Amino acid sequence: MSEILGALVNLDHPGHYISWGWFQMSYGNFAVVVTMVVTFLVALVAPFPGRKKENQS
Amino acid sequence: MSTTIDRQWTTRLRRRLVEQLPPDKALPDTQPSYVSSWIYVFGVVTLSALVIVILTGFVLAIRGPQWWHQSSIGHYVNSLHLWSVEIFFFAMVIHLWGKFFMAAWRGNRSLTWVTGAVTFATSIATAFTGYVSQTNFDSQWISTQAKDGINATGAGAYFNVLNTGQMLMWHIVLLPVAAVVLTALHVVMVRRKGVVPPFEEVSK
Repeated sequence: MSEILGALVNLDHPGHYISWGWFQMSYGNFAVVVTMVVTFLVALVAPFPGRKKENQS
Repeated sequence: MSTTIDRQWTTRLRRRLVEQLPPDKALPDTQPSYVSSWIYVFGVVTLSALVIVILTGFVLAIRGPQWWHQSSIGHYVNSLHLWSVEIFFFAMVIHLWGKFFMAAWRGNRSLTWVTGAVTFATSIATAFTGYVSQTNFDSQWISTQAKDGINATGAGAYFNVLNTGQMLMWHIVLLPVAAVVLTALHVVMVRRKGVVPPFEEVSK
């Protein structure tokens, strides 16, 4: 199983980094932060299952 | 006139506890309609992830480093521990953002906010001691990178990141106990004061 996953995603290399002046962050951490922001925004607007509209009784 | 039973410390404590947190508030049957939103889900996701973190931590503590480094099932439980921590922080930060923009300290909820913030800081310390307790090259790298910064604060006398045994004890005893107690306090305060309503509900 690990061989299959290893073939799909090669992690056997030094990390890649985003550099912006003094700021530095790995692509992995950057991807997590972006996913968190997207999840937060989706949570604000996505309809919640079973929720009734305000004007419905 | 108070009887002997009324003066007992157990009676007084029980009455105080029930007064502070009545059973219907501790385990409510219903929640306000505004709680039916995804943004209110992340607190309980954080709590669920914490349960998995603690349970997998128990298994890792029972079996020890050789097991989690060398056996397949050890790798699996080690990965469960890591990924539940990732989900714990992922959900906790979204919970924090949601509560920040909701100004969740409104309505006498300042202590709820403060216990949440302190739990967040304690969790970071718990995760950090976990990373330096892995007993691999990653933990060696992290501890040698962190030592100068932490020693410069003067904390190194009690919190020496190069001392594996001390870091492991902080990670599996002191900090998890603090994190769990703070989380329990946080949840009790949420139950006592109720979930913070959105701004539009208050202005109605």
